[in-house]
Amino acid sequence: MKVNELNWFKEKVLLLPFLIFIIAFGLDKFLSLEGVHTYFSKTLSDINYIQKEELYQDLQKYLQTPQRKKVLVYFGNSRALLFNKDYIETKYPEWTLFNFSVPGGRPDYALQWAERFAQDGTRPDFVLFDHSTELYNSQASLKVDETLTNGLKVGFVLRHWKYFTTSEISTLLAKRMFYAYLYRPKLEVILARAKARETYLYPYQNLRMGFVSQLKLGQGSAITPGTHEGIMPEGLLKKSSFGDFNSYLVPFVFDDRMLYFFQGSVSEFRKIGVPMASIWVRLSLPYFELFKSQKVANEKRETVYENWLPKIEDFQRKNQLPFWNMNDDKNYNCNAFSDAGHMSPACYVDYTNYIMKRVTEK
Amino acid sequence: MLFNSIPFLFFFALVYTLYWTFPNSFRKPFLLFAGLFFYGSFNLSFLIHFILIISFNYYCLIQVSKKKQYWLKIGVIANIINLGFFKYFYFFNRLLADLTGYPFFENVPQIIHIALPLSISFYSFQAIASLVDQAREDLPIPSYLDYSLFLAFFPVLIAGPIMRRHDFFPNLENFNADKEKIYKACYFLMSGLVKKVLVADPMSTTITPIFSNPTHYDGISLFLAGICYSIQVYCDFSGLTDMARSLAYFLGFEIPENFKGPFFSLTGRELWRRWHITLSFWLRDYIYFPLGGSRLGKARTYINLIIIMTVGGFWHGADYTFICWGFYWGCILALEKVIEDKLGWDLIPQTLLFKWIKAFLIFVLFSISGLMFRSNSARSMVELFQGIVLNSKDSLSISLNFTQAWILHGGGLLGGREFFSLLKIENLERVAYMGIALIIFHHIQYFPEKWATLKRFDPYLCIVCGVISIFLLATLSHEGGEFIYYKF
Repeated sequence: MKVNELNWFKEKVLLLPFLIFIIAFGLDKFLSLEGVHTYFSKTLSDINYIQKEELYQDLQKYLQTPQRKKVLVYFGNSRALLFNKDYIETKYPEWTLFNFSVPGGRPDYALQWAERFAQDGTRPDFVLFDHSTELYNSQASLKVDETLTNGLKVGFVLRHWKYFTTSEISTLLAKRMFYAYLYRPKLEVILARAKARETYLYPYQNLRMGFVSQLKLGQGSAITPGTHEGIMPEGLLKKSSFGDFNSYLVPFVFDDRMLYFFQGSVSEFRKIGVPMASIWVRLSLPYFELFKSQKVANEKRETVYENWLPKIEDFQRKNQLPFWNMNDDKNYNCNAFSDAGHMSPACYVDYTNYIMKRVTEK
Repeated sequence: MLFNSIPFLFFFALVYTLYWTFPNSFRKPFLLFAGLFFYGSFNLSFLIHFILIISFNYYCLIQVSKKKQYWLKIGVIANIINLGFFKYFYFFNRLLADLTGYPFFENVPQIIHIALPLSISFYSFQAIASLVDQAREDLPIPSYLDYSLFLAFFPVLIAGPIMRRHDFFPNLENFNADKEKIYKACYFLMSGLVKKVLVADPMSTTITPIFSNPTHYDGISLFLAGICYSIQVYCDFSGLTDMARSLAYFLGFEIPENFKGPFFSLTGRELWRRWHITLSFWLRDYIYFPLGGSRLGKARTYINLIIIMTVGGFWHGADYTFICWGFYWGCILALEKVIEDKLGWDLIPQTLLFKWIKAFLIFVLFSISGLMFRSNSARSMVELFQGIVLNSKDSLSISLNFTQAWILHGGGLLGGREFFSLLKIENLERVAYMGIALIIFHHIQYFPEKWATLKRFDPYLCIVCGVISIFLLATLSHEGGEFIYYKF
């Protein structure tokens, strides 16, 4: 059977691989339906990302309100999710917080929003960026890629393709193409939830819906059920610090790309004249001790603290951007942590005051 | 841009679409362009080197066709030098360091950095075979375009199969895409990806810690690591070959098979006719036969077997471990010959039960050789074999009992009875699943005629299996690893 030019329709078998792909692609989209999704999903962190779109629309509407409060926008990560909007509005009546923090939030995610803010002319009154050291490590044995898979748009990544590795772009494309690859549904979870809906499925669905409402009410701030709720005892905290340090910071190789994204965000907000600052959020004492004692950076000649902090301070200085270093601040004393890197809710009042005091002074 | 990567998926989708859209006359140059682009995507500077090698070999081929036999020697030697320089430079340097003890040789790797060009072991052997075949058979000379495509055909550029001219050039006579080829292409792609992503990669995570620290594991775990490695290396390489064949079928080409159910083999000799077939036959045709094969007496036959298998081992990698591996197999093949020749025993059992036992024995022999093949260094290889014999679960406690018992008590207080026990291989249940998968893959390769009865369902079966495979890969895949044979 000889095949000649432009033979796609004459030789339909050539379309077979595309047909298989299209069928699989179509079936996979079925998994994205919320009713189906809840049969296998085991996470709530995706909701943080999904809800941000609505938060942005709420922010735009709020900024058009005639007698509005001043708006602080925070681009952080899981270290900045538990703020209490009501507390802020009561204690600092002129201000409110729209929290764009997401689990694993990185500077590239902040830049994606910054570009949109600048493009739409959305002008909050102050923007605060988080610097989390873990996100600046290009060689971590445990990668934080939630932003990449849940938050970044393909268009954004392709626009800044030089600053993403081939592996990152591949992961992004594959996970965006196939929900099955993104969520990895497990048969035993599906069966358990299908068999005992009252016990497993409905509570999970309620949890998701409740979390969406909480995020809406909290303007992006809400505690993710089951995370960062308690205070970890000292012994466990040391173990957690050791584990997190080795997973996220050993070996430590500074990732310059993050500064590129951060620089981009600063430039975008400068375009629309929004004042900014950056914060290095408090870490637990045993965790911070490892930052200052373990020589894991620059071929084991420097500690993470010696390697990372000067680069960040230099960046801040060059950009004339205030840098709020909670870890070296002797006046900040709340050290209750739910794990090595996450303050417990018990410290959020102090944490909020630390930020708001500086924001209101600006 | 390995076959199991997303960039390759996009690359191939584009190549496939354009290839079948272009007129016939464009297809060859387009495929060559795609092959060179694929090669260049790994390393642009090596692309120039690759083009020069192709051109040089083509010139040699023309000269050989004009009966200028010395060009055969020049061509073969030049290919060996090219391969030797890139692949064996550090090995010979280390050999000199080990033999002479001069510090200079120790420092050479810090001074001179040589990267290994993609596919050099494979294209060098193809080029040599092409020259030797020309001298032996006076074959028609292909055009420069055809010859370049022969060496730069991208489906075989990662890790073969090693093609001969008669494997490849008939494909260029008629570009066609019949249903059977496309169905085969789909099945091979599914099986290749499943073998690589769902068996080889997870198996790698089970055994990597053991090969990194063999002294920390007990003897049984070390032995099982060899079994696991056999499963991994088969699924990795056979999966890669399946993918290469699939890509070729998608483009209307048929390229040779490299595996035919090797672990169902009943003798070592049969194993090497079923494992990396194109290499085995290359070694036979271009080294074993010129050395005299089995024509120069029995003793010479045994030596020749040991020589070709050792060369085969050296081809795989520039390390003592690969040489030991090849030598080990050479000795087994020679021993089989001795048993047949001197004792007159039939190495192939007659009953099914004994056939299973014999196949398992050959598999165990392969797994033992796998320990050499996979060892990170010669020292690590020795530690592995020592460990298999000496590392009982409590060997560390026993040795401490005689010397420093207080350490034993102290350790016991901290970590209980297991404190000084050696580690055990983890995820053994995974090995069981993978073992079942291995038997199924082998059944498909060993008894293809039994599976051919399903052909009539191809239009439906291919789609259903394809969709299931995509979902299995999406939900169960681990972080993708490189192919083992990619680095050869």
